[in-house]
Amino acid sequence: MEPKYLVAIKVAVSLIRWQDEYVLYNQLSGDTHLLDGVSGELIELLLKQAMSRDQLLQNLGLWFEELNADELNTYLDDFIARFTALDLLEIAKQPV
Amino acid sequence: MNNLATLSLDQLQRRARHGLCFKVGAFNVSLTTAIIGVANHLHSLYGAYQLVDKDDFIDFHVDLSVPSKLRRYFRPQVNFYFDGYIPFKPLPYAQAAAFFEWGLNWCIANHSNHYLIIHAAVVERNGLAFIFPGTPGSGKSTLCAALVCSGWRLLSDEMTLLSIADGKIYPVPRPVSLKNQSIDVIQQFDPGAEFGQIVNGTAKGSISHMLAPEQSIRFSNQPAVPSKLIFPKFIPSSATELTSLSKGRAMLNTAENAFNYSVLGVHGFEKLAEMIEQCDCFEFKYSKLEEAIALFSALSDE
Repeated sequence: MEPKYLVAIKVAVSLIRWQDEYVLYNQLSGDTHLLDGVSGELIELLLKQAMSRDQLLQNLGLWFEELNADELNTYLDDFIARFTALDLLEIAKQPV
Repeated sequence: MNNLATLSLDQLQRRARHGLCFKVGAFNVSLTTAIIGVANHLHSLYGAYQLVDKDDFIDFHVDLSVPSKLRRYFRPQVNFYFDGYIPFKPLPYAQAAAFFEWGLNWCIANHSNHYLIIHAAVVERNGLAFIFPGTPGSGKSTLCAALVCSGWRLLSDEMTLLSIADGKIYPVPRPVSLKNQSIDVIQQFDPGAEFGQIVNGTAKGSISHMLAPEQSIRFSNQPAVPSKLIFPKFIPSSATELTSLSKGRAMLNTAENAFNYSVLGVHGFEKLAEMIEQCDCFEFKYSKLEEAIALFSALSDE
């Protein structure tokens, strides 16, 4: 069986929402990022708790009923790649 | 306490040799210099500033002097000292007064972390502060000078001091720095505006400082509430155009224009976010000052 992984916020961040935009402040690096609404909502979810890829995908599916599975997967892969590159997310092995 | 205008040029020169102390906004400055050009600059443009006693707390001890005796005769230069050390390379002697202004900007921007300091002009009307961040060439100082000549209160043409304690903007009114064509533009806009000497050949071209209104200096202990955040762009022959800017984009642009945002960390982020929350944010293109003034006056009357 494949090991399960959790997506988690790696550092302390502050997040502010204005309509369909979010501004995120990375308290470790001091960098400020402008986020689209969906990325911001995913970050908000992850700030509450680490989530598996499936759980994130499930939430995305609820928000975007009109998108098919491929499109949702592509968006999520891109989200994880972008925020991992920014050193904001980490993929951690799920505790057993 | 008297203001600088009570001193004759001769008295001002003599006091400046041993440390002339005066108040600029919330800061007390001690300036020591024997350079006549600097004394002339203060005499023309700092008359309304309050003198303070040498025994008062001084925020910035500044000294402008010639590096060596030889430099008095051979390509004369001037050094800017802050608390006894030299943060910059010397500049040509003829630029001494401008060096004082630039150096004082640096002192405030680097040593006042109880404010978030945004590189922006800020003026006030009807109790509302209009903030104009801008990169060089955006026309923020020209716009600021024109607004001030039209009766708006000058808080600063260069740096917006957003208090970390109460979220208000604290004034630091100084002579408005204008360069190149902007000098002519404002002289034509308001023939009554008073200017200091024009200094040519600086790194920024020709520069001159416009006298700050006495009223603005008198009320420099009164903060203002942030109301409008406007990113100006002077485009020759363009129509006057004010367009909404999202708060998220405005926050990012303003953070990029803040001198000590990274120093203040999460406090800077939170305070800036509070300011953005209470401001209407815009991008502004213009070429005609009269139209800009009419538009902003109408906005401040709403």
